[in-house]
Amino acid sequence: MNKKLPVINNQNIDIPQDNPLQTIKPEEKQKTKQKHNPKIKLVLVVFIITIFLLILTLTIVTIKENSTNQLTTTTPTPKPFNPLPTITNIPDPQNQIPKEWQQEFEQIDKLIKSEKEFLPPQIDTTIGL
Amino acid sequence: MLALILLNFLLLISKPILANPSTTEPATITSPAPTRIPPTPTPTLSPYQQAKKDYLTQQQEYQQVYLEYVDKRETHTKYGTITTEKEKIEWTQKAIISRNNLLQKYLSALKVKLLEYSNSDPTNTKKNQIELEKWISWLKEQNIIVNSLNNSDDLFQNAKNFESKYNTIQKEIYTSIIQNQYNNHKQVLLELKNLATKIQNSNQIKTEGQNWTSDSFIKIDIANDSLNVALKETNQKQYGTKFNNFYPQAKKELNKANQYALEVFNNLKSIITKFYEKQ
Repeated sequence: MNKKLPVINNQNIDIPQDNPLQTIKPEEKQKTKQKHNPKIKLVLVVFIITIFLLILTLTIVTIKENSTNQLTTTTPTPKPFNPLPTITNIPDPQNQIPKEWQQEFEQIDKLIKSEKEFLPPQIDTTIGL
Repeated sequence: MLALILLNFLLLISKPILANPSTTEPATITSPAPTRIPPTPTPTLSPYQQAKKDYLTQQQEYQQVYLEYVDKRETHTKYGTITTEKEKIEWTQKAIISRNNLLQKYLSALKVKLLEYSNSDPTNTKKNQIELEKWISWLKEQNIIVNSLNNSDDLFQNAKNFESKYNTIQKEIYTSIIQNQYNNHKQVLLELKNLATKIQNSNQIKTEGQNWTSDSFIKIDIANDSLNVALKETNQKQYGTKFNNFYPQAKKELNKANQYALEVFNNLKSIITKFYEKQ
């Protein structure tokens, strides 16, 4: 008897959300009128950037020109050159040994430096356990 | 628009590109002459270097096989099926054989290395070589036995046997390592002694310099004593199932001997550079 009526999602023009005519409040209308045109804003920004970049390029170019002019005009004054000893100039103690004794020393040196430790490999002794 | 401005900005900053002067000669495409790569001479390896190379190759193979074995063992522990058990047995065999091969290669290389300075102590060196050869043969035999095993119980018994024998193998390994180092140091000390004697008796060295060599003889004697102590360490008896490693103690003595040898070497070098006079 008291059967519930099915809810139908019909458009109700009384609810502002469902109103197809998009009712705008008078306050909002005023707000939109006060807003600037975005295109004008964009042009203004671009204009400012252009001027800024132009000024920047002009300053860079002038600085560059000045520096190149300076380079060409000033001649470096010659300084006395003092050669510093390189690593190759350091005497090798092996070279200080007289030639007739060198061979014996080299032989002993080779023996001292030869590989001594030949340790066993790390293995698993428990394979199969 | 912004992009255009940026482009303009970049063009202004960048350097002007200058045109290359045109060449009057016509451009000819020449194919590169085929260059002959000279055959690189293969360095001849010494017997020890060759043996070591073989050992290192075997080491890589063992690592791969061992990882596979560990994987199969874990799979069997997880699932415990007949298939996984079969695979586990197969890879256990492979891992044991690979490990034995690795030890064989190592022992062979060590045996060759012992030859390097065997003249310093030929009797003991020969003894060590024979012992190493004995273990190489034993490992070869083990591989034949392992190949014939097809169940986990037999493999387990074999592994137990290996574990007990490995202590003796380790003893032989470290004895040979110490022997080799002993031989090398002995050779160094002998050559240093000969050199010191030569300096002492040389007319090219001033008397003051000749007197300085006496200190070298004392140091050589001390170094020889250290070497003998190091060699004695190898006679330590093995008790129980765990390997009693005598190498660290012996190494201390070997290092001492090496230190003395270096001191003598540097002293002789100083004597020869300071007190040498041309005849």
